[in-house]
Amino acid sequence: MWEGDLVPSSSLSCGNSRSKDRGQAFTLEGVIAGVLILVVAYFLFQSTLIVSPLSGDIVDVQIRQYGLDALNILSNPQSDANDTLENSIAKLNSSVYPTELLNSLDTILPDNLEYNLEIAYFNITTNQTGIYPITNKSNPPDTVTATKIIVLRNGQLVSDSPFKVPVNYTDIESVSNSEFPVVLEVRLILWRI
Amino acid sequence: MNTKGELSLDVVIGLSIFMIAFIFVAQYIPSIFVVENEELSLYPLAYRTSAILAEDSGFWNNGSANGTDWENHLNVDLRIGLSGGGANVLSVEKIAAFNDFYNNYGYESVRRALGLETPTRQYDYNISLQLFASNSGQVNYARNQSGPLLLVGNPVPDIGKVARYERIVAYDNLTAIASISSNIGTPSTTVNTFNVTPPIGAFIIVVEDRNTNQTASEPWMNVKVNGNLVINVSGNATITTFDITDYVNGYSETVYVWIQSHNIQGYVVVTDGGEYVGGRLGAKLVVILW
Repeated sequence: MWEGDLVPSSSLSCGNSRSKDRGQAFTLEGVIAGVLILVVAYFLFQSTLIVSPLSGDIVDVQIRQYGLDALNILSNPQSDANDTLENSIAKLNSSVYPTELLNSLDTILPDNLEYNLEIAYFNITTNQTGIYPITNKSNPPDTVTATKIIVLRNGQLVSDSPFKVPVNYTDIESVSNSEFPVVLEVRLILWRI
Repeated sequence: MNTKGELSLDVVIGLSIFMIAFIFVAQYIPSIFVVENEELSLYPLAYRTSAILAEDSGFWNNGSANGTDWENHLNVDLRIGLSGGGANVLSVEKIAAFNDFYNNYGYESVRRALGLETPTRQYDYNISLQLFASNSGQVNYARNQSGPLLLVGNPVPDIGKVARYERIVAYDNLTAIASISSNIGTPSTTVNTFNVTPPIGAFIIVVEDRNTNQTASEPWMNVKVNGNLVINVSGNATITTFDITDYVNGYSETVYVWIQSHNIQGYVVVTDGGEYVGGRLGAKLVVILW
C-alpha cells in the first residue's frame, strides 16, 4: 500500500503532495462544522428566553385589585348601614373612630395584608389639600395604594367634621352651604405582611 | 486524496454523537430552548377571565339578534359575564345560569364561552364563589341550600403552574341566595323564632318600614340570641337593617334566635352565600387557571 493513501488530505490543499496534511480546511468537516454552529446559533437566538421580571408586579396587581374592590364594595350611598364609606366618613370627627368601617375592611381583605386608611381633602379656608389619617400604622417602603373618590354634601357631614365647609362660605356657585359638594379621596394603602 | 466520495467513518460517528447529545439536551432542559414561558401567560389570562366575569354582563349572538341576557339564550354563541350593573355587583340570576350552563353543556362549552380555548392551547379552569376568609388551604364556598353557589371546572391540581386571581364582589339580591328568607312583617305583635347552626355567613334582619297599624303605630323590635337580648329598638331606629351575624357565630352549637316585632314590614335573611358588608352581601370570585 502506498503511504500516501493513509494520510487524509483536503481538496483545498495547495502545493505539492509533500504538504498534503498542512492544516488546510478539510472541506466536508469544515462545511459540517459551519452548518452545526449556525444551526445551534439559530436555535438559541430564535427561542425567546423570557426571564420574567413581571412575577413581582403580578402580586402587586392582585393587592391593588383587593384595595379597589374593597373600596367599591364599601361605597354604597343608598344604604344606611354604618360601615359604608359615605356614612362612616360623614360621621368622622376627632373623637369618633370609624370602627365598623375598619372591621368591615378587616373582614373583606385577606389575612396577609395590612392597611392604612387616609382621606385627602381640600381645606377651603387655607386653600390647600390636606390628608386626614384614619389609621396610623407604620408601613414598609413598598406599598400599593388604591383610591376612590366620594362626594358628600356639606349638610351630611357632622358639625365638627374636618372636611366641613364653614358656614360663612355660602352660595358658592349658586349652591347653598348644606348642598355644597365636598369631594374626598379615600386612600387605602396596602402592604403584605 | 480520498476520491471515493464517501464520508469517513469518524465524521459520521462524530456527527451522530453530537446530534444525539444536542437533541437530548434540547428535549430535557426546556428552559434553554423555550418558545414561550407558559407561566407568564397564565396570570394575565386569570386577570382577564376574572374581569370579564366580574365587570361584564356577558353577550349572546345568534347572527340575527344579540343582547346581554345570555342567561335566557344558552344554546347560541355566548360570552359569559356575571355583572348585574354597578361596580363589583353580580347578578344572582346570571350566577345560577352559569352553574346551569356548566351542568348542561359541559366543561368544553364553558371553556369556549370564557375565551380559554385557543388553536394552540386549551386552558383548564376552576371558578368559584367563596367567602372572604376562604383560602386555598381551607376552602369555604359560598353556599345556598342546595350546595355551592358557583363552582365550575376541574379540581385544582396539586403540582404544576397554577395562576389564581380573586375579585371581591357583592350580590344584587339579598333574598335570592338565602337559605332562610322569612317575612316577619306584622301590623300587630308577633314572635318569629329561628334555629341556626353556626358558623353562618350572615344573619340579617331588614326592617323596611312601618306597617299599617293606626292605633299603636310606633314600631319596635326585640331580638334575643340564645336568651340574651341583643337588640332593643323602638321608633324610627327600628327602620333599618340589623346584622346579628357576630352574635350567632359566637356560639358553637345550634343557636335559638327569638325576634319579637311590632308594626313593621320586614324580613330575615340567613345565608351562607356571603357576608354583610357595606349594606350588601359580599363574597369573592376566585378564578384559577392552569
